Amino acid sequence: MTRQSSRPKQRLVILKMALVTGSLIATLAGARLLEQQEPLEAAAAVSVNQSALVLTPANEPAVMQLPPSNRRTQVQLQPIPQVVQPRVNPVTRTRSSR
Amino acid sequence: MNDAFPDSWHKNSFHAMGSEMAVWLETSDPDAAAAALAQVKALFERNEQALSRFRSDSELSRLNACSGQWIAVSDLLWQVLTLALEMAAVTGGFFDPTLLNALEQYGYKVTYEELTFIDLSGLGSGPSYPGQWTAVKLNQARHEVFLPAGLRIDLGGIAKGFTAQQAVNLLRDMGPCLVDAGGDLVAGDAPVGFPGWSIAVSSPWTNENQEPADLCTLWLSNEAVTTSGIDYRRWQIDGRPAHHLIDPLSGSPALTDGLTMTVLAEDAAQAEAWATAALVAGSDAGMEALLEADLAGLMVTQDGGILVTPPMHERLQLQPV
Repeated sequence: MTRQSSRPKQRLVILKMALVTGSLIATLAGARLLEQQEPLEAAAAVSVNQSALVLTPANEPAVMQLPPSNRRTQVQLQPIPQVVQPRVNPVTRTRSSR
Repeated sequence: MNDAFPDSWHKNSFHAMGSEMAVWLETSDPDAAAAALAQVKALFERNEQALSRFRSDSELSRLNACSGQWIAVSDLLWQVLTLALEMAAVTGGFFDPTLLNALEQYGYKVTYEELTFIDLSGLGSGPSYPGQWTAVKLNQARHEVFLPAGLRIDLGGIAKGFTAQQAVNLLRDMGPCLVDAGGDLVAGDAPVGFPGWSIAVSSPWTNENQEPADLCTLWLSNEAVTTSGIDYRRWQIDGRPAHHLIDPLSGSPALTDGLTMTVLAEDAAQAEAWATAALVAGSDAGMEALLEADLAGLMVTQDGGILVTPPMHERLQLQPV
């Protein structure tokens, strides 16, 4: 066997080793990513379940119903206390002739 | 009242038509604002000169002195007189501009400021002078008016509201504006950043020397609000109460259970006429008429009650708890 005919074989071995190494690295990175995602998905699933729960009795304060979707939700609003509504001082007033 | 206005709000105050006037104009051009506000003051003075029953040389006084004959009148007097007669028709005669004889019979022959200085004893007796608005004849083509002999016109609040409306029409192209004609308010567009001009409805139970109290507030834009009342302009004749709101049917001060009447309308003439008519008619008939006309109205009764029509209730900003 001569030196020229052995170089393509060496390159092929190096390439194979690179492919194997890269695949292993990618596998390990993907696993770590999946580990990070799982808790978030779990939390989202919990919040969806909680927001879908609320159904207010008729004698409770006003309830605003969101447009229908595949996740039906209801949001309960409390009436705004009158005392905290923003007020603008009157510029003038109407009254009977003085 | 709030004097901390934005710099773009320009204000002018003056006395005219027996009342304190105030005008606000929102614009970034102070020189133009000053000129325009001066024009408004001149407008009130000009109209008062023509329409005041207290000036012997006014065109209205000359018309009143020429009853029993056809008289040609100016465009201004024609406009205001025909507007007043139109309001008389709309209100079923409860607003009537032909009550000057009755007003003077009950003492209101001088300005209210002078009323306390004259002898009122013996007044209110003699023949009655009920309203006769249907007896006024008009020739539209020639702008001529015929008053039956002895019949005399008082344009009062209609003239003030008409002039306030003219003032808004004069200012509105320059910017948002508000005219306060002695408590009769006419608004143009809302000021920038606000849904309207913030105005209050005054409580009638306030003495002149006290800080005024307000019943409620509301936003005003491109409309008018007037309050008619017998809470202030009232006096006594021989121990009997009298005031300036004459019942057109009897020719006497109206025997009403109302104290003040506040009406919102598209323009000042309607607000003025309906406020007067509803107060004269009393709480039952007056509020019923406002309901039929679908007008926003608030009546304070003499026993302390407050009545509002649904359109008014929608507009009110309730006072804080």
